[in-house]
Parts: sequence; structure tokens; C-alpha cells
Amino acid sequence: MTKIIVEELNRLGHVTHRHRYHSLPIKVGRAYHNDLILSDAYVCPEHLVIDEADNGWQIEDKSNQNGVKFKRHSEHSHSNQLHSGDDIIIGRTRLRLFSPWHTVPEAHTLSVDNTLSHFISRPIIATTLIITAVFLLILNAQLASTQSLTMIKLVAANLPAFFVVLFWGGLWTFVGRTIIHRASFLPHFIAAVLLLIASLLVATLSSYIAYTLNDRTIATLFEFVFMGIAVVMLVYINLSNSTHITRSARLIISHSIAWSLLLFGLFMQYAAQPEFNPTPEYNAELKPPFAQLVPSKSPDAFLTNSEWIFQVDTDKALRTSPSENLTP
Amino acid sequence: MTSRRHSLLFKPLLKPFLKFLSKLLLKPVSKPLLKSMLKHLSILYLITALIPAAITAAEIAPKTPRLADEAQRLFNTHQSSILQIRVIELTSGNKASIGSGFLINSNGLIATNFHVISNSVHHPDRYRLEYVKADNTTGDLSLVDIDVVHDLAIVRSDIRDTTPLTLGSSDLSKGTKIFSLGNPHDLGLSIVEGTYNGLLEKSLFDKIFFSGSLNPGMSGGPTLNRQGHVVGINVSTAGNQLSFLVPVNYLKILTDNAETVDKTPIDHFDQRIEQQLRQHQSLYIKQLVASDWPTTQLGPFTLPGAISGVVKCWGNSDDNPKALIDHATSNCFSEDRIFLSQRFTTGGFAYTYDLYANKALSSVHFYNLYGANFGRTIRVNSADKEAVSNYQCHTEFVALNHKDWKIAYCARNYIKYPSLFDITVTIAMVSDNHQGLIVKLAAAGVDKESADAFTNKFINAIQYGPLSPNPAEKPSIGEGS
Repeated sequence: MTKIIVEELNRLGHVTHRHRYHSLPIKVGRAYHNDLILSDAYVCPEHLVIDEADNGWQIEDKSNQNGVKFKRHSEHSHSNQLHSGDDIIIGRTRLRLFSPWHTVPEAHTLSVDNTLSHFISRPIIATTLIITAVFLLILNAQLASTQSLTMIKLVAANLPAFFVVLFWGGLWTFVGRTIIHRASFLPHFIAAVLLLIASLLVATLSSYIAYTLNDRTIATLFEFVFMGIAVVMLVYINLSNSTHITRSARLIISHSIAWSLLLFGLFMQYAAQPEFNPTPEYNAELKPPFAQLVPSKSPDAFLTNSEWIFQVDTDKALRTSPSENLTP
Repeated sequence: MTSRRHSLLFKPLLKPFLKFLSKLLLKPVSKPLLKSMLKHLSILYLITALIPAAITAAEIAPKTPRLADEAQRLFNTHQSSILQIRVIELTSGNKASIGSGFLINSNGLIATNFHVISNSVHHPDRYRLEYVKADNTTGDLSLVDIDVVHDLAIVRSDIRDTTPLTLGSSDLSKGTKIFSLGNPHDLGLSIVEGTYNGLLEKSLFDKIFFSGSLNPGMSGGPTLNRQGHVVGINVSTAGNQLSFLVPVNYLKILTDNAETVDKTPIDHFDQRIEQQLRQHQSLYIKQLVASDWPTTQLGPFTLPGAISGVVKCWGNSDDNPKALIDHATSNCFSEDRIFLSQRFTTGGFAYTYDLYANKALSSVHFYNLYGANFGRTIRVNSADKEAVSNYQCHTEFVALNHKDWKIAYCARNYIKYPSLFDITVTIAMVSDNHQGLIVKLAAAGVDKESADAFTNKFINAIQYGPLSPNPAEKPSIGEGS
């Protein structure tokens, strides 16, 4: 009959070993005659003894160096009495004591993001998404080319985008490896591929919106919101595949990363704009006839609507109206 | 003097010729003689070539005085009335630019170019004006009046003891010799002979075409006829003896006005400049809009041709077989520029046509390539942020003669002359999957009314297909030729 379970934890709090004992006391130390042998140079050959006590265990410090520290998670603990769930720190080792009847929390339900990660990691889906992204990238490059390009050139033009996606996947795989000791590259990579597809579609749609509404602002807003949501989703998937943080923490982190990245980009774009531009700026893209969703105006209406472009910036202008009393 | 010089040259040549003649007549022909004959024959060739030249020169020379002498006479008579104008930068005390000028009345009024003294007009707090006479005496100058359109200025000096130049008339016949005076590159007063070649035909404002070399520093100097009367004012050059003068008539108008100005001095030259520019542009745009425009055919489009005599048109087309779309282009522009400052010129207008035909592309691809040109506008001048505001643009779909077009209409304001604008209009047909046309129109230094009138007439003159002979479908305007 198990009386006590002793867990060895690493510095990040992850369990590295779990020991099960059927009788007490348990001698802990570096010497080989102990019940729990620790290979920690800061632990004495005979460091401590764990023995039975009322409602828990009591610890007898046998060490002549470094001593014993406790980290209690339970209430009503006396000086050297521990309960199930409490930690003992000796040398550089952390031990956690559990009674076999220690209650454990309910199981997490498998969340949507886990199913999504699993879904996009399925070989058939992953392959389809990669092929779609490659196709869209090449189509995009081809539609902008002024000359008929060879496939090699089209691929070469899109390699940087793919390197970014690979790098992103690799980065999060590394994060996952470090934090939860699980390196799963595919979900990260495919999530980034999904973002690439989304950004291509959003950019195209936004240029059509700008064209038909003759307004860059609405299109930029659309682009900003949709790219924001896409980046939030990407980071959320990355976080759920490489950390064990809670859902709300994931949401907070992914929102902060995504929106700060986008705001930073927007700010840089704004800051890079020159104060004075010798050439006019307007939405200068043209789209085929099908993209015109609003009816054309008459020339007269157009000229009336254009009147605002002749408004004089009174702050800049030295005078607001020409003087009329001069001799011709 | 000249005939004596020619006879002196004649004597030593004549001697061997006579010797040879006597030999030939007195002795029978032998081998050495033949050799000598050949030798002398070559000399004879030279002599005969020289004789007529010598004789003609000797005959003509005394009858008319040589042009060089005429120039000399004009130079000697009038050099004291011509001055160097210096624009002095106040902080350094050194000259920032130089030009020429000349006395036009006994009250010390001096005529020069506006562009010579423009720095002191724009920044009176940073520059002052001074003159240097031929005898190196100097003095201060003050601004009286300007004519920015014709690049003229009148300044006042303290000179009273020098005879002014007489303003003549620029109504000369082509080929008349005229003489330009000035101070090229600060090298000293000099005189240049040239020919009057009439008024420029392709110009918004009158300019005399002078076949002679004007150089920097001569600007503002007078050009005289043989009588020593001013016919024009040196203003610009296009290199290789292509130079331009302002007809003296404009100076006369300005001088008459200077009398009025004398009583009420102008204190706001910015307002004067704005008023002159506004008057000029309003007049020429009004005439332009009122006139019938000839049309030109570009692919299936009927478009305004050379809409005015001042417009020069050029055309080109891409013949790159690798290009995915066919492209033909035509551009027209007026070459006149009104000088405001070193980096800021205005006046004039330009328009271009770019025709695109889809070879075999998808409509999306075609519009991507065709649209790449839509964002490029005609640059009307190189004004900086001190001179103009940023462009403001309005973009909309507009129906022109039953086709859909996208038009971007942009204007930027002149900061010192707030009623004036640079405008650009970019127009692209967006209702056809197989062909496209981009029309660009630009005008510098126009007011809102002129800009709208010009734009309105221009966009309405754009027509898809040939001009319809059926009066029922007659387009509103654009039926020139």
C-alpha cells in the first residue's frame, strides 16, 4: 500500500522523477544507503528523514550544511510538519510530497484550438494549404509582371515570403521545445501559411475596395482590422501549441502581440511619410470593369465634388485673398 | 587703309609670275623648263585664286563701314548707360548673383530682368541691390516695379549725369543686325552681334528670337539696333546662338506705369506678382477654352490635338515584342515658363496620351500593367515646400461620352500667391477589357476658375471612336478639324 509519493521537480517546476514508497520513514541524501538517492552536489550524504506525523509528515533535518527549506501549499502546517502538496528544497533539489489520496483537478476539455491545430496538421490539409499559398503567391507575382516571367523567376520572387513563414514556424517550435518540451513544427508552420494566404486575400480585397470606393482610408481600415484578427489567431495557435498558459492568458498575449505589431507598422508608415510631396498622392490602381460597383458621375458633378481640392490651407498661406486695389 | 593693305600683298605675288611669263615667251621648251613650268603653274593656281578675292575685297571695303566698327561705335557711345546689377547677400556682404541693366531715363531709372533681382524681391531682408558702372562707380538700387510675366524689372538709382538709352521699337524685319550688350560671367561689359529673327511663334508671350550668343550675366542688358535704340532686353538662351529677348514694348508699358508707381510705391510685391500671374493665366486660358480645338486620332480615340499654336506635340510607341501590352504615347506641351525663383517656375501647360492594347492577358493582369501608369503625373515645376502646399486630390468615376473613366483631379496651392494653383488631372478609361487610354493634363499657376474651365473642356473633348457625323450624336465640343 503506497504511503507517500515524492516528486523531483526541475527549476521550471516540471516533474522529472516520481517515487512511490510503501513504508516510512524515508531517508533522503546523496549516500547510496538512502531510500531516495539524489545526485545533487549541494545535498549532504544524509540530508533528511521524512517520517509519519498527524495528518501529514514531519521532516528531520540531518544535514550539517545547506539545511532544509519548505514551501508550503497547504494550510495549518507547523514548523517541520508538511502536508500533501508541500515542497522541500534541499541543495538545488526541489521535492514535492503527495499522499496517494491527494485530489487532482478535473481534466481539461479538448479546446477548439487544439482541434484546429490537429486539423491543419493533417497531411492532406497541410499539403492543400501549402499548395494554395504557393499558387496564390505565384499568381500574385504573375499578375503584376510586365513581361512573361519564367517559373524560376516567379518562384524566386516569392522565396522571401516562404522564408519568413519557415522562420516563424521554427521560432515557435523552439519556444515549444523550451517551454513544454514538445517540438511540433507543422502546426506553427501551417498556421503561418494560413496567415500568408489570408494576407494575400485581404490585400487584394482591400485594393478592390479602395478602387471602387475611391477611398484609401476605408480600405486601410478594413486591411488593419482583418490582418489584426488573422495575426491574433496565428499567435493564439502558436501559444496553444508551445505553452501551457490558460486560455485567457493566450488571448491577452495574442491580442497584445498582434495589435502592437500592426500599430507599429502603421506608425512607421505614417512617420516615413515626407512632410512635403512634390507629386500628387491618390489611389492609383486600376481594376477591370467588373470592379466598378458605383455608378459614374457626370463631368459637371465631378467638378463640383472636386471643389474641396482648391481649399487653401490658411495656416500655410501668407494671405487669404489677393489684394484688389492694385493698379493693373 | 584696307585697299593699301591688299595692294601690298599683291606685289610680291606678281613678281615671280611676270618672270615666269618672260621666260616662257623668250626660250624654247626644254625638260628643265617643263619642270619649272609645272612648278610655276602651281603658284599660278594660287595666285589666280587670290587675285579675285583680293580685288573684290579691295572694291567692296571702302563702300560700307564694317560691322565690327558699327559695334565699336555703339559700344563706345552707350557703354556708360549700361551697368552691372549685383544682388548682395547681407550677411556675407558678397554678391549672390549678377546681371546687367541699363538707364532708361534721366531720373536714374534702370531696366533689368526680374530674374536678375528676384532674390531681393522675395527676401528683401536678406538681399540688397547695387549697380556697378563701366567706370567702376557703384551705388545702391531700390525696386520700383516688376513685370513677372515678361521677366522685367525697373529699379531706381542715384545716377543723374549719364545719358539714358532711347527705347526704340522691336518692329524690325527678319535678318536685321542687332547688338546685344551685357556683362557675361562677370568678365566685363561686352557687345555681341546677332540677327533679329522675328517673334517666337510657339510662345504664350512675345519673345524675340535673337540669333546671337547670350551668356549668363548678360541678362537684363539691352539689345540695340544700328541707331542705338533699344529693341529688346536680353533674357534667355537655348545655347548655340539661340537667344531670346523681351520686346521693348513691354518695357515701355512698365516704364509708363513706373511714373504712377512713383507716387504710390508698391510695398507688397507678392501681391503684384500674384495679380500679374493671375491676369496672364486667366487671359490665355480664356482664349484657349474659347477656341476650337483640332482633334487627333489615337487608336480608336478622338482627342484634342495641338489645342493652341504654342503647343508642341511629340509621339512614340513601344515596339518591344516581349512586352505584354502594346503602348503608344503622345505628349504635347507649351515650353513657356515664367520665372519666379531659381527653383520655382510657373505658367504653361502639358498633356499626354498613353494608349494601351491588351495582347492576350487576363483583364486583371492587363489592368495591373495599364494602371501602373495611372499614378504617374506630369511634373510641372520643381517647386519646394516653401513655395507650394501638398497636392490635394479628388478621385471619382466619371462618365465621358458613354464610357466610364476614372479621374484623379489634384491641385496644390502657391503659398505666397494663394489664388494660384498647380493642377494635374489623370484620366483613365476603365470600361474596356481590351484597351485603355490614360490622359494626363497639367497646368501651372492657374486659378480655380481657369483650372475648372480648362479641365471641363478637356475631359469633355475625350471621345471613344471617331467623331460622329450624325448631328444627333454630336459631342458637345472637340470638333476642331
